Amino acid sequence: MECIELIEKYLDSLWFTALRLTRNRQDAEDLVQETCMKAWENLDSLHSEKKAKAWLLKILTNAFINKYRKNQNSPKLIDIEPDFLEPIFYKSGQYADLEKEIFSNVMDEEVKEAIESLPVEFRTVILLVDIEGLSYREVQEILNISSGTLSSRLYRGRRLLRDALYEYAKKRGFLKEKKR
Amino acid sequence: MRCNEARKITYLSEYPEAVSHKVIDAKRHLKECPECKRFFEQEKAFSALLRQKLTKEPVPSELRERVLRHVSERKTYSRIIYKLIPIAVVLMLFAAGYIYKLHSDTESFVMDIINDHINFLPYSGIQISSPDLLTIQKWFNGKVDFSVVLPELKAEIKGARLCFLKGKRLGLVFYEYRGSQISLFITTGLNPERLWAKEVMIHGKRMKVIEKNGFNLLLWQEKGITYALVSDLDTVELKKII
Repeated sequence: MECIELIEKYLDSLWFTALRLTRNRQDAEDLVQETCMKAWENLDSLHSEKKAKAWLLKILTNAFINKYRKNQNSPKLIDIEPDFLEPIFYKSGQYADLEKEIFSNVMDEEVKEAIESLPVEFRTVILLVDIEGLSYREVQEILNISSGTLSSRLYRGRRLLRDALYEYAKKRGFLKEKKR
Repeated sequence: MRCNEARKITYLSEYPEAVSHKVIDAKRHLKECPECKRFFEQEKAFSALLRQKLTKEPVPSELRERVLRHVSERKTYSRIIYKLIPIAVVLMLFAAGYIYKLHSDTESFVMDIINDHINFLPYSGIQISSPDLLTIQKWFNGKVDFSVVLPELKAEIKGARLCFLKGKRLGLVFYEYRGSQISLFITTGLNPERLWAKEVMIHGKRMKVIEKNGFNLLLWQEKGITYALVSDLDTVELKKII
């Protein structure tokens, strides 16, 4: 498959990820263009078409991180090991079984906004693992992080996303806060 | 195995590099522990719901066109570049060959000058003996195809003769300085710029300095005429007479 066909095939994924990462249409356009140019220039480093999606997302994520790091003044996230026994309760104390209900009631745009509200480290792993369906190993390689860091970020990211979605559902009146 | 440990290991081990006892124990724990089983089912369900819920907005058509056009243009451009590379290589080879030929011609010219200097030691075959610069200059009139202008050197002028190098007629003027014979070759058929040699500035004139087979040469060009001064004097002495 030619480079142009590969890019065309995954352009929507690149665009979606770029939009969520940058949270800005203009920056997302720049990021997608930069990614495609880099992909074209470094096509030799793609060894298998099967890995094309992960390869393109790696270029995009690295380009974003490089730019983001230049501009950010906030302290770097410290990865701490999460407590995996922490129950999937929302801040309000409601149980996770509400997830289906929440997802069926919140708007598509609200889910996107909830993702965008996550700190960038969590947002990135949620986008790559949960949305784009890349394997843990691919994401570890893209972000150059250990499996422990990845699982910690994924776990904490999902928790934060659940909380954010719950708040949207509550605001729209679909959920009523209950006491545990 | 405790629940926390089992969950941590299972979370890490989507694609374990090696299936360790810990992973096996954790998987076994998951089968036996309904809470942990539920924990992972919820994690998977959340991920699946998230993917289902989201619709990916298509890339704006204007951006799509721009990106694809840009990549396509680069592809064409690079194809053109690849096509031009062999042509550029051939041209460069020709240019290198031409430069090498010019250089080697000039180099051999220099060797001929040194050989002639040796052949005409001591002042052999002198055709006009005169200590006077103007007389010598006048003598060359009509004998060479350029008008000879002799530089004023701080050395005793002895005389002159004609010589032939590479089918060209050159003027040759003999001088003497501290007992050493100096030959000054005058021609229009040699460009010192083509010589890869050390450069010095003497009295505002850019000169090439060459040392070959125990002889020293100073070469310079003035008003289209090339002067090549050859002697066994060292370059410091030669500079003194310029």
